[in-house]
Parts: sequence; C-alpha cells; structure tokens
Amino acid sequence: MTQPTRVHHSAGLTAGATSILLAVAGCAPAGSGAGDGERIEGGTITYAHYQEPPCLWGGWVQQAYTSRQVFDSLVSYGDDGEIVPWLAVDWEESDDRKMVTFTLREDVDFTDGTHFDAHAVEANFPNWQAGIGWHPFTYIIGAEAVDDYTVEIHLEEPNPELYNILANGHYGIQSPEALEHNSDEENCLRPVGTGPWVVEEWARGEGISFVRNENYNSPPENASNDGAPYVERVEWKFVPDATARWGALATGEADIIYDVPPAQWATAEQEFQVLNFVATGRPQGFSFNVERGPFTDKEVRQAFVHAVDRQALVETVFQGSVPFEGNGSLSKSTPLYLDLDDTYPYDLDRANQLLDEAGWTERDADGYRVKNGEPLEVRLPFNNDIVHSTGAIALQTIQDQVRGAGFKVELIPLTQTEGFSGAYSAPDEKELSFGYWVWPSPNILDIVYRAQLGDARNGNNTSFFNDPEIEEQILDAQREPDPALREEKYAQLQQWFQDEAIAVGVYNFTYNVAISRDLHGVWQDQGNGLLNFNDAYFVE
Amino acid sequence: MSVLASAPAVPPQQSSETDRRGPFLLSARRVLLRIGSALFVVWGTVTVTFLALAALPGDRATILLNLRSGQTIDRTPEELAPINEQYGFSDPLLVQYVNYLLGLLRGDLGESYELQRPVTAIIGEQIGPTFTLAITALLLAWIITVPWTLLTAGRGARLRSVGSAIESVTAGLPQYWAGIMLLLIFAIGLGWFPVIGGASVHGTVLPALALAVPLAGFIGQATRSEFDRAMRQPFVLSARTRGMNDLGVRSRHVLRHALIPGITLSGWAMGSLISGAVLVESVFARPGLGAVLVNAVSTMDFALVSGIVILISAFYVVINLIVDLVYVAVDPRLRGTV
Repeated sequence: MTQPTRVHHSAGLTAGATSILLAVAGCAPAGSGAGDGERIEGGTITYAHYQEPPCLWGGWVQQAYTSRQVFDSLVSYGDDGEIVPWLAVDWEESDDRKMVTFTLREDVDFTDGTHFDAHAVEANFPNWQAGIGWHPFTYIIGAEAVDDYTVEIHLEEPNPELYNILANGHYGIQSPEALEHNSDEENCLRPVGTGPWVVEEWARGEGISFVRNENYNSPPENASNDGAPYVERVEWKFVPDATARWGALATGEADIIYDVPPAQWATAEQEFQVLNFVATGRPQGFSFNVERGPFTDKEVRQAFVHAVDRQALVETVFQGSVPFEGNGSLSKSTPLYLDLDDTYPYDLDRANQLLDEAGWTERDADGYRVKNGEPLEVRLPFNNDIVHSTGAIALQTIQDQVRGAGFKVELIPLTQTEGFSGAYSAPDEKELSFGYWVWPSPNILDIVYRAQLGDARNGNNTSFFNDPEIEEQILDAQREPDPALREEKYAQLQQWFQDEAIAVGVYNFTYNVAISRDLHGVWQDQGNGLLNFNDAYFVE
Repeated sequence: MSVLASAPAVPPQQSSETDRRGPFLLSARRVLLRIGSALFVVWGTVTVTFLALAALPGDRATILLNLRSGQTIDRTPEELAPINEQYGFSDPLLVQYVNYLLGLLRGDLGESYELQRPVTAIIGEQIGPTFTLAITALLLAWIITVPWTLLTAGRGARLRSVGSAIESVTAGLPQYWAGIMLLLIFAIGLGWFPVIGGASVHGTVLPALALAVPLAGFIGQATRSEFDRAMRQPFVLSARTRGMNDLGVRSRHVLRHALIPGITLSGWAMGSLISGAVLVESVFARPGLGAVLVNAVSTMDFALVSGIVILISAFYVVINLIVDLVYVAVDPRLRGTV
C-alpha cells in the first residue's frame, strides 16, 4: 500500500513484456520454463532485498513483504485474481453489505503455542487502526467475534474489495498473546503469527534470519504446498546497492534478488527466472493543481499532456521494460481498470492551439508563453524515493518536451527529510505533482480526489480537486451493489477524470525479482507482489 | 588537540625528593582537566546536534506518521496531536533539551522513535562491525603507506613525482567507486571474497581496502613532504657519516620525523571512518553506525543521532589522547611531558 520506497539506489524498476502479462493475468510461477529437476529437501534460500523497514510489520509496503513471511491473512489472491480461502474458509455479506461474516479455520495455532480463533482477529483490529496510516480508506470500522470461529468485520461503506485489502499483507493476523504481553521492541522485531516462517534473528543492517515453522498447516488455498516449507531457512539480506545484489545472484551467493538493475534486465530474463508485478492503485503520473495557477484551466492541462510524447518517452527511458500507462486514476492491474492509453496522443500543434485558445498567446525572449505579463511556469517538486533515478530522467525529458509548447517547468528535487515531512504539499507551492499510490481497489479515487478528511485537507489529494458532486458519484460507484453497473460507474468516473485531465498517467509502478534457475516454486501474490517462499524448493 | 599546544605548560621532570608528590598532583590535575574538557566537548556536541536538528525544516511528528504508512503528505492537527503528546515534540525546545540532558546524566540515551528501541541497544549492535572496519582500514592504510614512502620518498625527482602522483590519485578516489571496483573485480569477478559480506571477517577485507586506499593516499602525501624535508636535515648526513646504510637512515631516523603529520591525520581519519563509511557499508551490505546515522538524521530521530554523535565525540577525545601518546613514542623530545 502507498508509496513503498525510501532509499532507492538503483535506476528504477524494469519489466519484461511477457512477465508483465503473466503477472497481470494472474499466477506467475517461477518454476515454469526452467525445466524440471529432482526436488531437494531442506536448504537455505538467500534473498537479497534492499530496503530495511523499521519494524517487521506496518503500513509501508516494505513491511508487507516481511509480514507476509510470518503472518497468515484471512483470505488470499487466487491465481486469476479471485479471492480464495486462507485463515477464513467462508464468508458472507449482510444485506446492506456493511458487514462481512467470516467463518474461520479451527485447527491453526500461532507459533507461540496459542490458538487462532475469532477473538484473535478481533484483537488485531485496534492494531490495524492504530498502526496503518491509511486504514480509514478500507472503511473497516470494527471486528467482532460472534463465537469462537466466527468473526464479523464491520464497514462504514460497502466495500467489495475488502477481501483484496485483507489479502494484502498489511492485515496479517498476529498472536493476541504476543501483542498484549511482549514488549514493543519484541513485537517490532520478532512478532508472532501463524505463518510459514518464524523470525530467528534480525541483525539490523544485515538481514533477517527466518526458520521454518515446522507445524505450519495453514497455507492459502492457492498455494501448492499444504504443510511446512520445503526449505529450512530463508536468509533475508538487506543489500542496498543494486550492483551488489546483481553480483550476489550472478555468483550464486543469493538465490533470488529484488529490483534488478535496469541495465541487467535483458540478461536476467535470459539467464535467470524473473517475476514482475505491476502494482495496483494509481500509476506514476501527473496530478495537476486545479485549485490555483495556470492548470485551473482545462485547456492548459490538456495542452501539457499533448505536448509530451508519453509512449515514446516510456519506451526510450525504460528501454521498453516498464509499461506505458495512459490512465491517470487506475493502473492496469487494479480491479475495474479502464484502458485509456489512446487518449491525449502526442500532438504539439494541438497543444499550441489549446494554449492559444486559453489566452497564452504571447511569448517571452526564451520562447516561454506569457499571459497578462505572467509567464507559464510550472513548479514540479519530486521525491526521489517515489520516482527513482530513472523516473527523474523521465521528468527531465518531459521538462524538455513541454518547452516546445511554451511551458517553463521547474523541477524541484526534494530531500528525503523534505519528502517525509510533507514539504511542497500546499496548493501555493506547486503547479504539478508526480507520483503513485499502491492500492488494490478502485476506491483509490476516493483516496486521491476527496477534498477533506474531517476538518482538514486530504493530503493524498495532490491535485487539490474539490467537487462534492463528483465525490458523491465516487461513493455512489463504490456503494453500487450490481457489479456490472458498478463497473460502468467507475468506468465513467475514470473517463471523466481523464477528459478533464485532472490526473493523467505516464507509466506503471512495478516490483521485480530475478531467481536462480535451481530454485523453483517462488511466486508473487497478486495484491502487492509479495513473495511466497513456502512453495519454494531447490532442484538438483 | 595536539600535544604541542599543551606540552610546554608542563615543567620538565621533577627529580628532587621533596617534590615527590609533585608529578602525581600535576598529572592528577591533568587527568581532571582532560576529563573536564572531554565532558565539555560531549556537552557541546549534544547541544549543537540538538540545535541543528531543531533547526532542520520538517515536522518530526509528520515524518514519523509518514514513515509508518509510507506516505509523503501533510498531516492534520488531529493526527499529529497524539504523536506530539507521546514523544513530547510539542514541549518548548528548552524543556526537551533539559529533559534530554537530565536523561544523559542518568545514563539514559533515550529511545529511537523510528526503530522503537533503546538507543544503547542499537549502538551496541552496530559498534562492533563499525570499529572493526575503521581499525582495519586504518591499519591497512599504514601498511600501504610506510613501505611506499620508504621506497619512493626522498629519491630522485622522477621516482618522487611518480610516487606523489599516485598518492594524489588514490587520495582523490571516491570510496564508493573504489568499493564498487573492488566488489566487481575481487568478489563478483574472481570470487575471492563474498559479495554480501555482512560483518564477517572475510567480508571485512574489501570494504576495509576500499576505505584504506584513499586514506593511504592522504597519509602518504602528508608523510612524503615531511620525509623529503627530514632527508635534508643535518642528522641524516651525520648518520650516514657514521656508516649507516640508506635503508637504516630512512627507516630509523627519517621515517620517525615523517610520521608525525600522518599520525595527526590518523586521529582525524579514525573519527571520520566511524561515521563516514556509509557508502562503503552500503556497497558491501555491511551493518554499521554510518548507515544508521544517515538514516536517523533524515528521519530527525534526535535520540539516535545524538547518541551516535556523543559516541563519536567521545571517541575523538580518546583517539586524540592516543595520538598524543603515540607522538611521545615517536618523538623522544616530548618524553616526560605527558
């Protein structure tokens, strides 16, 4: 969920077209095509990840990666994106769809020996509410145990994607006993779940040693292994440098690495196995400031998009490895996505015409457009943690291209401290924003276009869009009980935001891994690209 | 903190019977002075760190909330209030400062709010690999410098200029680049060392070398000019006339003189290696205080930054003391003054 990265050293993430199709279509088993071999029992998987989260679990996607190893969730993403049983075997919605009753497995224990039941789910709710910053957008307002193995989840709004959220890794179930009695430090570093792995040690700055849960009996329905992991240990190393990660895979020191350097992607596809997941939510794209400045004028927004050759830009900068994404509101892998790749083709004449019509008819000595003595200036603060270095190159190319239409773009790189302290987030500080949001549901529209959160401005709304009528329509689409009608309503909204050019997409955000040929069975889940090692095994 | 500044204040060794307690008293006073000045240095660094972090733009509660949810947005006062309350961010700066100092007096370095752990525990974990790397790098740098200087300094013009050119190049090598090259050649290419070395002994060689090579260049430059100067001193001639061979003159007499600036540099280098090895640590996926410090600064994690800064400043005090002692060992003229 949410922008997942902090310190990106490498130059962006890349993706091969075939593997994207695999990932989007559903299951992307790593073993496929690598040839079959005799399965070896035991062994240690060395995984070179790069960012080290402060705690094993929390609201940051980096923490979903680690949480998934230790916690099970109520439900899981199946191979075709449908939701399948995990700790919950069955579920039923109330008539008003604001309550879902889950029936739970009765034979599962936490690794501290306590028993998993409905009361455990109930006990996890306050933890989600307090620990996950974006929890309100899940609309979950409570969890209540009806009996030992039946739990009700209460919702503020109907949410058909509730299951996607519960499956996403941030909503893993922890031992209530541990939550209550262990110290914060212990729960941060060595939390207790029912999952396939147990934290043996976390050597900060080096890595986490996971050992298998010998009694594991609760994999999701879409897993192939019904019991404890085949492999004995997972050494989850933190290797921030992309060259070192690649070297570790090349020398066989690591069996799997995260975030392959773009320059090595073609080699990775040839010599190793690769997995690539297109993140759900909204893609990397433009959010125009529609509250003040030149972009309050729709024609100026459209002119800006027409002035950028987005398709060619993505192909050139990412060398054809990250997909182009035209839709500014939803990414390709999000439920109810509408393909808008054909909107706003590169057309400099059209851009110039629109700007003329909008009254930006004069030019200054440098060729930038001027209206009433005001130059056509666009401030674009960007966060390297969000756009990465390859994305920064894309932004520079955009800056150069729109100059042709007379836009003067000022790129403002933010330090990490500035980024996380919310600098440049007020309407009078920028005309344009660029970034993505990982989210498994079309109600991302509610997150990024709602004007207020309580009495305060909604910080996720970077276009400063404020239209109560449209907000009402978003909630109406979200509440629509008929699936076909709901899809139509969400499609209309996506089309509307695109036509109005409030936000327009540029490229998708992806997560990739490269895997040694003698490690089979690793897969990424379809919510966040979380790695599953329970099905993994080495071959001769 | 050079001994040259403080040494003249001390009279030559007292030898008479009646003054037997004199040297003891004097040295006790010196020790107290030293401790006092060390405490002053630590207090100063804590204060400067506190002020610097307070002056940095960015609201700590906002950073904390955004870090916990992976967002980069503005936060509402309702969201910030409980965090400010919990960590005391809304107290006046002076109150926060005094509270921190009072904690220090109790030996409490506080808790990292990002990592949710006591600062002492985090430092305790990272200090081993950090010191190992810094000390190994410094030793390697000297192991490279001494024979290099003996071989090339104070010789003919050509050898001298080649020697100093190589020193200039190595001194200017970015540690990160040196690290990547060593990794590519010796770990990935030849496979002699692990790529993900962590804190293991085997894994320490390349990162230490990456730090040692540029440092050897620096120390070499300082040593060389002193060496050249010393080679022209009359005592060299007198040693030669006593029939001493060239190597003997160089290593027994000239080198001693030439070492002084290098030793001064080493004191500085040790401190900078402790906190500044972050890029090399990152290349070799090595734990260490450098990465922790950089991360703590960017998240404005005051307790953790301050804890590490106190450690480093205390370490500087100790290393300066050691440097002073080493001066005495190297330069007999200073004996009896410490």
